[in-house]
Amino acid sequence: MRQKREKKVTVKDDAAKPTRNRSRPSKIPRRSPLSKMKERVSSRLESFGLHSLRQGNSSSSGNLNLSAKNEASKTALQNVHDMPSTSKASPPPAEPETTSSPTAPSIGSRKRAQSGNINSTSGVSTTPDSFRKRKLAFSRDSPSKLPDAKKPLLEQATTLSDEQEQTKSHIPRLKLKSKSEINLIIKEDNKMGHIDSWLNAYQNFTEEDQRIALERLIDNSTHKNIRFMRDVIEPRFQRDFISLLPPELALHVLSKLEPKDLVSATQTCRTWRQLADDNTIWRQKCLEENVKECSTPILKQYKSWAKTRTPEIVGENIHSPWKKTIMRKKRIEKVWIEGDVTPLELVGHDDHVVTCLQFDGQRIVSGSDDSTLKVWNAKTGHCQSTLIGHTGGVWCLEMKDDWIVSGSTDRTLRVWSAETGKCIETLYGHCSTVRCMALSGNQVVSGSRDNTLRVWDLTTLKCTAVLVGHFAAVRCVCFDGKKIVSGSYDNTVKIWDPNQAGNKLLHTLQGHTMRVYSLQFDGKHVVSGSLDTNIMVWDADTGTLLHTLVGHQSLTSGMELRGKTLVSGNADSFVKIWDIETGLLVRTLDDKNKHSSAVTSLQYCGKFIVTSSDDGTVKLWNAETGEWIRDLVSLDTRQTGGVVWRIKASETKLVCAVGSRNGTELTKLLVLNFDDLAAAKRASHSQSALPGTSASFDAAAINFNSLGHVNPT
Amino acid sequence: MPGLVTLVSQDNQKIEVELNVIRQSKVISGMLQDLGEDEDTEYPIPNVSHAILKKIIEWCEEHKDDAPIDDEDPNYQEKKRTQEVPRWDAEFLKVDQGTLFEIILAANYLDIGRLLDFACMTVADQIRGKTPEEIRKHFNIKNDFTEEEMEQIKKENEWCEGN
Repeated sequence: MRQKREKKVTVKDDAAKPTRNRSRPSKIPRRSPLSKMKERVSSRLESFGLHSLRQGNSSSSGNLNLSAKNEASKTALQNVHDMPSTSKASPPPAEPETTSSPTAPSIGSRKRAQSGNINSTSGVSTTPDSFRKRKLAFSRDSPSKLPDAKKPLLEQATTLSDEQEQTKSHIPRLKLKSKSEINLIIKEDNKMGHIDSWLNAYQNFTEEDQRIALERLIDNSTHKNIRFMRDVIEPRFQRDFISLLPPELALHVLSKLEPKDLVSATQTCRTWRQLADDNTIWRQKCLEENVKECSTPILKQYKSWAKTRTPEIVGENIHSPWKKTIMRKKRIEKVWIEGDVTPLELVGHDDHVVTCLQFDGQRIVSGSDDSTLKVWNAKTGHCQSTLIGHTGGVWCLEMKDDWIVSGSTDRTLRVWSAETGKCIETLYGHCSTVRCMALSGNQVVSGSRDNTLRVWDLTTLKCTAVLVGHFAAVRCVCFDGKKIVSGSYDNTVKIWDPNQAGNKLLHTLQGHTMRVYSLQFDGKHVVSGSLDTNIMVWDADTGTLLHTLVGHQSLTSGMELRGKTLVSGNADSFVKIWDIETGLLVRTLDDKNKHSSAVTSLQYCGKFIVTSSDDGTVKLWNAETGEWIRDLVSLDTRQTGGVVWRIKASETKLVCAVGSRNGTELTKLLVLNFDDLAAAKRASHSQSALPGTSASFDAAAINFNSLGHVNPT
Repeated sequence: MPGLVTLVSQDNQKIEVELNVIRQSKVISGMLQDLGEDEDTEYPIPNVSHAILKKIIEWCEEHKDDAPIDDEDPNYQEKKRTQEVPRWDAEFLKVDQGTLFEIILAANYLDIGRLLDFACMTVADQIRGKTPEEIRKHFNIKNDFTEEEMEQIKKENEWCEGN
């Protein structure tokens, strides 16, 4: 059929221009019969793996011979490597016509020809990938099909002669060349036979002799061919573990990776993607990062998706809900580290001091020495209500659900509804300033300058106990629902059991030589910070002193205990991290960017520590390494009186109470939202502009000149 | 000599090993219990080649005095997670990917938990810190995503993925 069609064209062409386009036979549609013939030969040859002959039209036969020889030697090499795996199972037959191995490299050589190395006689570089393809193509070809490629070659030679006879009268001179080409084909064919017999000899060697033979073969190879060997051999030592291992083992490997690497793995190929997006792996990653739940709506979505799950998951924009959860967490962390966040500015309390601050993720409550409290919506920044009633400055506040409890210099506590802003009850009893407060369950404990503590029940709004024992003002208090721990200006710490009948005092912890200002209590350990510069760790059950943490120079204003790690902020401007089990200093956050003035407040926040200071900045630190990451807030008035009094953070937001004592900075709250896609995108943008330099952090630090004010209602 | 057992590998080669060494394989120690610790008995290991079996025994020799592991212990699980491959084992597992692959399969088949774990960690170490393209190159993987899929997957896997 094919021949018929070609013949037809031939007749037409012959009449026109018989000797045209000798050098570019494959591209020009109008061809001479000879070039067409040659093309036909070469296309056959190509299928047979002797592509280089195709170029022979314009090159000398000597050159041709060389390149063919080169191909052949490569073929031999490849067969050496192919053999051990294929030959052991079924030794190849001696006849070249029926063996499949010489055909295998033909696909490889075609690839090489395509990649533009046709004319080079020895410089053939082959990528592992092309060999993969070759291998694939090879395995796809059925053995019965393979000899076909060879057989017609001889037939073709005969056919060619016939056709040449026909075209003889037109171009007799070129016929010779074409014949020499055919000779060469036959010669090449014999060469294949040589290689096979050579290979058979090799296979009959003992293993030791094979090694010697290989060694000698390598010694006798050109550097380029040795490199070729390396390219053939190397991929054979590679294994796509994840795709080839049983899935449970592949998952075992992937479960050793961190989220960041799993995300790279999932972008490798389809099989990897399916395994690296496995929900159980991501659940494990979440647990490792202390993420204990993922949002229910996504889980439902996932379950319905999992039912209809097919192996083809690419393109479906739903993956593991646990992965989604952790991806969100990572995104938020990234914004903490480098996001360009524009804070909300919540102006209120005039030029009074914000003495206390609470934040539950949704609602912010600020207490001030202007005698009021304000409830703010953290999302919009709007002031929902101003709690008016106290007749003296507010110095402490606690919140739980709808309850807000505040303590004031007017000697009372007030209970408010956060929702309505109405005062539910005023609690009388203390005969001096209520200075500190702790809330657990329905009970709230207040500490006062009248040297006593009182326990109140928020459901009955009655005082249930009065704890008498301190000889001076009670400055700080902790309550875990069972025990109350109080720190006082009498230099002692007392542990109480409010539920015990009669004497409720369990222990008096004596050791500090000056006023106690701060406390931490985890049920087992009591940690107390004092003006005497020391921090003391006590056993809550026995009341014995376990460790004295020495190192600070001044008053410890704020502390937070997480597991056995304690972080302390001090008026000496330093933040220190301690191990309360050993009593040793783990590290001081001593960076050139450290605070330049007293630390006013601090909080652990996931993998970060956030600290605020009288120096007008809020700083972000890496909790694990203690490295300074950046200034989250840096007031323009920081040199002239601007201070940060208090901070409170959730996973996604940071609330800072800022102002000044000299009127340079108006009292306000700043709310930074880190769950902000736009900020994350700006972060990745600025990161690419200024990779990893401290300048990028400075640039990302918030500039307050450009802020728009949010008007409080 | 007492305390020796003979294992027969996939390629039918015999290999003698001390009983207390090979006990680390839960499968072999189970087999010893079932078949009895008879010196004349040969224990077939049909899924493991001679070369890999030799490698496995080398590892067991080194670890024969290790304390047994308790998979149920939560402390062990935590330790396992944060643990790095010990230096000797890291050296031992510095082999080509094909060998490492066989070791994983063999350790899994013979149920040698710690070796399996170290070998899997070694593979994980080879993935760690690489870009998708570097991973493909390292393990000779073909990228079978279409361009649109690539675009989509890249978007999905950015840290700043939407919610």
